[in-house]
Amino acid sequence: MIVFTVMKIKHVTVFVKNMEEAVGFFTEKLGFSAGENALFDEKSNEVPIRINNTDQYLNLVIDKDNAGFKSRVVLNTEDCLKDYHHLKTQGVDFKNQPQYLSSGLYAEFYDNYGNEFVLLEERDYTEA
Amino acid sequence: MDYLKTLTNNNRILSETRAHRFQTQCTADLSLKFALSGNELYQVGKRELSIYPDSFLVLNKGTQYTSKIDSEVPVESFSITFDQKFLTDFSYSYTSTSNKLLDNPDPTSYSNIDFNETIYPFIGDMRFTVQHLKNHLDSGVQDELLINEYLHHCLINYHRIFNNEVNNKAEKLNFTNRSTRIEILKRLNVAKDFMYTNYNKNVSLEELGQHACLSVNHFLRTFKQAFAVSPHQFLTQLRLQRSRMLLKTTNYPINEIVCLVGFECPSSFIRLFKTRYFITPQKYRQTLYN
Repeated sequence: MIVFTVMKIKHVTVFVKNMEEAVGFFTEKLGFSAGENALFDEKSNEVPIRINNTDQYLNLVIDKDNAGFKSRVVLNTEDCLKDYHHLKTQGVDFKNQPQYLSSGLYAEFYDNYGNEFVLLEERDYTEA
Repeated sequence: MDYLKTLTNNNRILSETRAHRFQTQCTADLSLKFALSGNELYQVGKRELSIYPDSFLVLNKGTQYTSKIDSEVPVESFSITFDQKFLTDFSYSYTSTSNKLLDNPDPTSYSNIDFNETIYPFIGDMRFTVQHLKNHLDSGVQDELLINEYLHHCLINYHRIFNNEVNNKAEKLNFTNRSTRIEILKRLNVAKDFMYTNYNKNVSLEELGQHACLSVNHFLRTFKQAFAVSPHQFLTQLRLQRSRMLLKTTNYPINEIVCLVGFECPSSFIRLFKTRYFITPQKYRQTLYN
């Protein structure tokens, strides 16, 4: 059997068109923070965004060639309805109302560049 | 925590923690009644309906009822009353967006059936929605839009439970006529509520048949069709479920729990518990402590 070294996700790349606007969306509307070493000026092509004080990052990258890459990122939440409501009042564009799945409740929203984000509240239905 | 919250659209949420309470009231609108810990006894007409944290009660508009709490430990009672307009809006938006419902006969006609006054299992999404809602209200959230969002989802969850517990079960009955199926299920639910309420006593088939206004044979046969288990199995499952609740929330000795949920012999209780949950009661409790 091959023994792999422990691998983990460093970041998830999200292609955007306008960095300043994108950073604004993720920090002001979603409440994430720009990574500590982030230098964002007009020239920066990459900005790491830290998700809610975890060690997980979204890496915002300018889509220079207009290749149109889209990401789909699933975010865990404790309370989907609350986040849905708060993001909606912030003007975030949701695809539809929160829907039920066999694993819990989810709601999908977009950023301005067509990337899709899923707010997923996983629910354990076995404990009654 | 105690509060009565009346929203501007006249939806109301009442939370009370009491050890003793006795009151007679009339529901202003459709109400959902929960006992988040302990148990509360409702009397509606001649029916006694007791709710525990694993079940909730739905009362129609204008129902007169008496509710009673008499317990050593305070009982967390929680109730939601929906304004009529909110309900109508919900039915309209819910039925017009879901394509699935187009295949079924008009679902609004279901809610018009005077059927809702029964005990439903408090499971699945309903549990999560109510728990989240309560947490927000307990922590003083004032945002009515947010609260209404939860109330809207309570109704979605209730619809789903209602559909499962009433429409789907009625469909399983072997009668050609839909109104016969509904009538039989209505009677079976009366017997089921009797089990929910008297689960810890000796319940005889004759008694259940009497409550359901069905002969014992007829009752047995139709119950099994609708619920896929015999009344005896249903009662055993209920007792096991409630014993698990007691194992989780109290430190009563297992021998006492056996009697509290209506089993006579500890060894058969342990055997049944193990068959259902693949773990002995003692071990189940230990895993919770760890």
